[in-house]
Amino acid sequence: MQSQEIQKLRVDEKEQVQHQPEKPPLHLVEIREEITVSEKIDIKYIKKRAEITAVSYLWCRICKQKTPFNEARGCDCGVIMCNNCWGEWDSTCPMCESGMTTAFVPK
Amino acid sequence: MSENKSRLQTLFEQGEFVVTGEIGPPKSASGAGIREHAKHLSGYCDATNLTDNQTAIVRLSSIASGVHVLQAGGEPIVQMTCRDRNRIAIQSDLLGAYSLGIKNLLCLSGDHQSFGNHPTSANVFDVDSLQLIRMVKRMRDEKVFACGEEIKKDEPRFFIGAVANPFADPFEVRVYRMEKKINAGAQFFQTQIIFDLERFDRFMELARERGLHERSYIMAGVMPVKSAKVAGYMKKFVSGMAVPDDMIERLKKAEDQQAEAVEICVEQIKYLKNVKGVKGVHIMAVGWEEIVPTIVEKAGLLPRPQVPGLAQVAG
Ligand SMILES: [Zn+2]
Ligand SMILES: [Zn+2]
Repeated sequence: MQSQEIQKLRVDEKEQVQHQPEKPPLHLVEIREEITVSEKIDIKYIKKRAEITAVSYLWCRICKQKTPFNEARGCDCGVIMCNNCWGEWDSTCPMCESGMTTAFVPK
Repeated sequence: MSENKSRLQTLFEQGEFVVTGEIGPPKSASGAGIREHAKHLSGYCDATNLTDNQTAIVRLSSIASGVHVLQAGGEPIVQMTCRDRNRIAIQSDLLGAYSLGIKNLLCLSGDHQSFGNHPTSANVFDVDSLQLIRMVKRMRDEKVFACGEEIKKDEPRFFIGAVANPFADPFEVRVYRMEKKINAGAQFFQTQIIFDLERFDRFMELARERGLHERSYIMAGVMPVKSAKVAGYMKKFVSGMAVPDDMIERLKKAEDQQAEAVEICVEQIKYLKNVKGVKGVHIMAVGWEEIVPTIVEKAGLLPRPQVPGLAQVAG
């Protein structure tokens, strides 16, 4: 069953583009119908809730590790790094070479 | 509503080779920097992208930024991602944006929130980028909201853009994705940053085979890379990016890496201008915005064309 579902999910982009109707459906509901192949149609709605707390960690762009908030720094260009990696990159932003001045202040 | 085309669309239709730039809105509530930036690009870029909380970091909104560009006499291309809004909020913001004078819209999925400054926030993705494009097109051409309800008057008439990445795998699928976006309503494209010209050539070959260059305006994305170090970072840590080793070597060997970076970018633009089907160039100078006028000038793209009936605007 599972492999069948995966098979169904694996989209053949070429097929899709060739058989695309002129006015394809807009709604997500219809996509859910497409990918439900079990005999018993059982559409699951997974509601992801955000953690409404102060952020306690960030992810480092370089080492991809979860980094405690006060051990990370950010740059105006959008890069976030842990202090370790920042040190290894000569204390500059690897993208724009600024000093990465954004500090994260734990609540 | 009468046809009221954007300056960007008019330039494409006139057959001009279009130049666009990019402004990353600030992480503050001041628009002064955006207006200043827009004035700085005036006469060098025909329009400017305003990113929508790029890299999932909270910034001044792309629509508000677009209004600041308008106030500075520029032509905004407002980005709209699927990450932060459901279809109600998106449509509402689109009505708002158009009512404020924004006419160009770039539809994209958006970077995942994990690597931004609110990693625990929920994402939305109520609609994906294809559905977003289709939704905007239907609002314009069929005068209906996503639910099918009629828009009684003053529908938003956006010039619809999308992004294409010739460097993500699997390679062949990228062209089909692009075609799907065109079928959904995309009229112009801005590509991922191009460093690997050979691979881009192959991508354009496939695009031309399917006639996509005649169904949309394709803009090639370029970026001046300040140093070998930045190039190395992008090669290793930025996904969906092809950075050739010889470019990194060339930067390393240069006495003045920044001058060499400009030289490389100018060479790339001159090359891309001659690729059949490429209708413009989108310059993304991340963290080095002040260099854009120099690049445009050295690439021989001045003076920028005028649109009859419109005052000289840029930004
Ligand atoms: Zn790290
Ligand atoms: Zn930076």
